[in-house]
Amino acid sequence: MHHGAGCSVPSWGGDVGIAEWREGPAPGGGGHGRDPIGAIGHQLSDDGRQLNPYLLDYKLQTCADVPSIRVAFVDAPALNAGPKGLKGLKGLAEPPCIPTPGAIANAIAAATGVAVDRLPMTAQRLWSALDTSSRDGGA
Amino acid sequence: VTERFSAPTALDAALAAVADGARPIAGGTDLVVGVRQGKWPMPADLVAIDRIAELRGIVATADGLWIGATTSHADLASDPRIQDDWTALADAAAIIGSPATRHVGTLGGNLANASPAAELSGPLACFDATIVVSSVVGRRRIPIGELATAPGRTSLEAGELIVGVEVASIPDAGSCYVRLGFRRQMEIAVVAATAVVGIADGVVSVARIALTALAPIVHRVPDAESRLLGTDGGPDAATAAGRVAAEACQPISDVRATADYRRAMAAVVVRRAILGAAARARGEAVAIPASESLFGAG
Repeated sequence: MHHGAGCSVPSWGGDVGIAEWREGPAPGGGGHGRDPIGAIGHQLSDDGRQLNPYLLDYKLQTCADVPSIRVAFVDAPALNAGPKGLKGLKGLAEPPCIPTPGAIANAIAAATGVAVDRLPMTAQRLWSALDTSSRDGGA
Repeated sequence: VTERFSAPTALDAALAAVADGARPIAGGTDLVVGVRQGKWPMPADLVAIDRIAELRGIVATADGLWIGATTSHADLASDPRIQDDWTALADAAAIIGSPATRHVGTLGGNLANASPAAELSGPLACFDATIVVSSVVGRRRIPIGELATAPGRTSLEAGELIVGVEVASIPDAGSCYVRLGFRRQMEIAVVAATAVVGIADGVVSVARIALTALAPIVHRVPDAESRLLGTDGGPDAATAAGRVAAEACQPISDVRATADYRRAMAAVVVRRAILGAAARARGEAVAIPASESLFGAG
């Protein structure tokens, strides 16, 4: 199955030739925004020790997991640029991190009828939510 | 700290070192990583076996293949004979660790490490592989089902070295290895399953199923195999055999998943492995590795 994802980035690159490179950081941010579904998350013992303190066990996504991401820019300059602002410039790579998990959460809820209300939204948590839902006579 | 290190090109020299207490090292992808994780100290005495030509390579035999112990995962995954006739082994070898791990990691190391999640053990269990071990005393052959005895433990005796693996071909059969994990690279199975399915006159005539990361050792599931034999190998039969396998497993809860989730997913990976193997037995194309092409499938 091919995975595709869209990513709409509110940004303003001004008019200084930024258009050529601004498409680079945006998929990175969107891919990072996908981590809340693919990562394993912090696992804590009952007394609060982290059980997976190394990157061997604290699994993040790798390049192999990130789907192809289409980037569309919404060119709206920042209104409150202030004295340090230049031509209404905005951040570019961080914004796609923030709405992506919410969009994925809504997509999961729309597709399955159950909400996963904790991060990371792992397959096991979705399975638990579906299991609980079916036992309760829901979806 | 390693005080003694040798890298012989002759098997006899390596066997003498192992008899003298040296730990063999090939790719080092378990040994060295385990040292860095604090699982065990670096052995004081090491013998590198990666320069011994007769331990590496894949050779056709009268009824199958001889695979040398230091054959890399990358070589297993890309061998056309393995891809065609022992496809599940290619599925598994293609997803061990990362490209770097697969370049240096070896068949013998994967078996000797005896992880409950050992990628190659399920396919080799379903192919009824024979493990050939040598020592200064001589050679002996161990059925794959008798090699691993517990997590990290094998039936190898002191001074013995795995030198190769024999597999026989299974006519008219397809095979498939399916792994569930959090990501596609640098991953260890949460659960995994292997199936070998032979179909004659529309009926399943060969059924072999193994579970990975669902018990202290990778093991076959005779009850699930019986359930699949004589069926059409279709979705209903695969689902039924998957349920039987899920009942037979002994999952644990750990950092990676709960036992309940593992048991539920055992049924899923077994079903997918059976359907993939049956499709291959019928000559349908299922890309290698199957796990990636089945990603997100029902």
